[in-house]
Amino acid sequence: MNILTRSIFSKPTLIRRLFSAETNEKIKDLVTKSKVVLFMKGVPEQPRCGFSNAVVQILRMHGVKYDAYNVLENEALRQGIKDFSNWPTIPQLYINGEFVGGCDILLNMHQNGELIETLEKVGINSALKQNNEPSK
Amino acid sequence: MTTIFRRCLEIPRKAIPFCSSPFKYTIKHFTVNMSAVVTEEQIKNKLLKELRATHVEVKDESDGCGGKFSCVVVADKFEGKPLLQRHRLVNNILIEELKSIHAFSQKTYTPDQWEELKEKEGK
Repeated sequence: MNILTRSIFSKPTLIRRLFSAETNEKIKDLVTKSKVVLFMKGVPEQPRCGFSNAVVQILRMHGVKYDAYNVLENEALRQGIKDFSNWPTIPQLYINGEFVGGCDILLNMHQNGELIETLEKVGINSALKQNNEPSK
Repeated sequence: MTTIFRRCLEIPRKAIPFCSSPFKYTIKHFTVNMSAVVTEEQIKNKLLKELRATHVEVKDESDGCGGKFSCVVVADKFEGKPLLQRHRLVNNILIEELKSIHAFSQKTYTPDQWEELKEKEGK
């Protein structure tokens, strides 16, 4: 199945172009539907790529609820999200409809505490923050 | 093992002549594209030249397949830019290479940050 869809989408660029406008609209809907949206390989319960797994684990540590979309299930989405964000790799994280970055950036934000701030700005309390600062 | 094999298969997939069955591919189908495989040198030279990076470390983690790289880039241009913009700078320069690279991780530093980091690690 995978091979079949791949050959359909990678060969005639015309078909791809016709779909891409539609895909762009769909992705716009997806990223604004929820506060935190992750595009990854596999599903959070079973990531199928080390980088995607890292992002899932970071979000889990922060206790964040998010929408996850498996790009391996949808070839149009896999290419579409790359074009939409102008970012060449998966995973990709959106917070409040804004592109945050991939695995490297998220890991960095996690390490220097920026992620907690970013989440707070959109009204999400990170579980890690509550651990560091016990109730006042 | 199968994932490694699959990765190697995927990289030159666009240029490989189409075969009706995956079992019909021979070594000829793949060697045609060997020149298209991205190397450490290629990435390093491009970053040094186009970004005028002061220091670049590129590591091929794909066993020569050309699908997985990690790199450290130090450049003056990163000064005052957030991480996302730094990564975008690098991505734009490597736009052609990244089409065939599967996994790419990067660390971007300004010369000052790099000196600081080296000092820390030295101690």
